[in-house]
Amino acid sequence: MIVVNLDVVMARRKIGLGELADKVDITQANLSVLKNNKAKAVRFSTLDALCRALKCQPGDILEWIPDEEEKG
Amino acid sequence: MKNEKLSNSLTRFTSVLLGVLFYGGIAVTAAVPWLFHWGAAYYPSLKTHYWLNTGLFMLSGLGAVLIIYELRRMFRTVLAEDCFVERNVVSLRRMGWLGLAIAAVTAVRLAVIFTPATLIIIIVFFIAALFSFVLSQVFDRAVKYKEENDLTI
Repeated sequence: MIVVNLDVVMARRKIGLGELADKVDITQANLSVLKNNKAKAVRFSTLDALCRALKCQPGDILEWIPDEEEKG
Repeated sequence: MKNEKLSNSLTRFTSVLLGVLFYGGIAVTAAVPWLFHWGAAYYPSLKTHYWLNTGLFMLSGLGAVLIIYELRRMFRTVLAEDCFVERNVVSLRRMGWLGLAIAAVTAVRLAVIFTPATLIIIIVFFIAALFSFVLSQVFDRAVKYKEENDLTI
């Protein structure tokens, strides 16, 4: 499964939800959905804006980890 | 601007119409025994099977009122601009079953007094029920797509 590590990158960059939402031009509510791993999909345009605002690579935000069944 | 005005007046008209149909439907359904008593003077066949006809018409009336009740519920979600919800799928499915129930009740009536109009009512309600079932499936897909779209950031 894909895990969104947006909160980790945000903490590293010392940037708040409101400020990031303003920079990437999406609502705080949507950013919160993404941050809390509730999103089903991410648009390339959103990922592009996030990487630009946070000066990072997509791999810093997204991470693949094996599911519980795959681990067992 | 003109379209918005037209849409507003159409919405108000539909809302009022559904209200009139709902409360009017309740009143007419409740008044069936008296209406048939009065109507028997003009249509003698109503007198022959008075209780059976009264019961069947009241059942059909109840089904129709419940359909309008579901429609009003659905219309409220349209007004709230949040119509693609699971609740409306359930409403459409219920309306389908109610339509089938009305068709079945009318089929019993057909066995008592055969008229071409009764046959047409059965066909209309049967097709309306099918329409409602298909629409509920379409709505179900739409709800799923909307949820997916809402969670695409």
